[in-house]
Amino acid sequence: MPDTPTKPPRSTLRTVRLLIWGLAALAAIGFACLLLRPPSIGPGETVLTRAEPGFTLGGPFTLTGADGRPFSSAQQLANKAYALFFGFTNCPDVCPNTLGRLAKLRQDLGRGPQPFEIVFVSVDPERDTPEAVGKYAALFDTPIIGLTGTREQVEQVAKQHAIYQARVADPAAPGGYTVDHGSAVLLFGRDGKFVGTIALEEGDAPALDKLRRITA
Amino acid sequence: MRILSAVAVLAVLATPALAKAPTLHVQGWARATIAGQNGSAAYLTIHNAGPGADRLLAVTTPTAASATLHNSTSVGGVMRMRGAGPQAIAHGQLLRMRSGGLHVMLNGVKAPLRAGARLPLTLRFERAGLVRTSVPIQMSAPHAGHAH
Repeated sequence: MPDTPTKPPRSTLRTVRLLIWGLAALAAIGFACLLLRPPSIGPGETVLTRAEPGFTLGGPFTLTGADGRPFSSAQQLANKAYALFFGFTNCPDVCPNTLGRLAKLRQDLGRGPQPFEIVFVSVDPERDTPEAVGKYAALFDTPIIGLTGTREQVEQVAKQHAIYQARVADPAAPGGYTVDHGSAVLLFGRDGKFVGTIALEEGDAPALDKLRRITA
Repeated sequence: MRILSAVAVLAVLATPALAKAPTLHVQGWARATIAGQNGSAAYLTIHNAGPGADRLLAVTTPTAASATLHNSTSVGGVMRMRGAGPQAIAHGQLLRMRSGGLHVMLNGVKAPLRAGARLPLTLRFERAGLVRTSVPIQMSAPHAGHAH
């Protein structure tokens, strides 16, 4: 019995080798796409980041704290994981619900009293004084950093985080307007890098998974 | 002839009054506030036990300067809130308000809404007229504060 089966011709071997390398390259590209794609988000949450070349979500920002003094993220959030949410204090529905939910998720995470910071940025600086955001942040019985600023500052920080915000007339609202705004919670690791989002519609289990990741 | 038509007119006029108005059952909760905060929201679940359909036209409370039906929507990650019109509730149906959806927006809250207390509400329906109720004031939604 000849122990060697007939060798395939060299050209076939080369084709097979090329094919395998081709598949490996495809797999690598696919994997890279998986890694690079925006974090998985819930239904209804389709526009988060504009894929403009060179656009990096996040980065240091300066606003005004509830004490009326400048708040520098580079200093005051250094080496801290944080969850960032944009809203306004006259928002009676979604904003308190989101902040209350974050407070509860932080508790449920069970990693000490403050494994990450909850940061609330007002997109309504005309109505939201430092005092107003401070009072609002204090509503949830857990430390929440409430921030506001000048119109220019707030717009800059929203832009930096790809958060849409626009004033809309509403005669029933205080001051005659409400504010449309991006509703996602943005998550940042201790290195200040954007990790993912928690969407409004998302369940608690995937949200907790993401919070575990930023606080690991 | 004249008497007959008078009877007919009377019958037509009397019909709405004779038709039994539906019975509406209201449950829900309102979000607690602290001193200095003058806006909040109430979330109601209204069951129309019939007979017939009805429409929720307005909500009032002595505790706030205004109470208006508002609808929050999230499309493409952008949260929008708009005034909502009357809400039809068919016989046997539930109108379910929720955070991130239809709610009663409260403005000019006169005194802090304290968790544990109740918020008095008057609902005005097209057919059932005024329905007076009160809902508990809470820090968050009854089940774990989740949006659904």
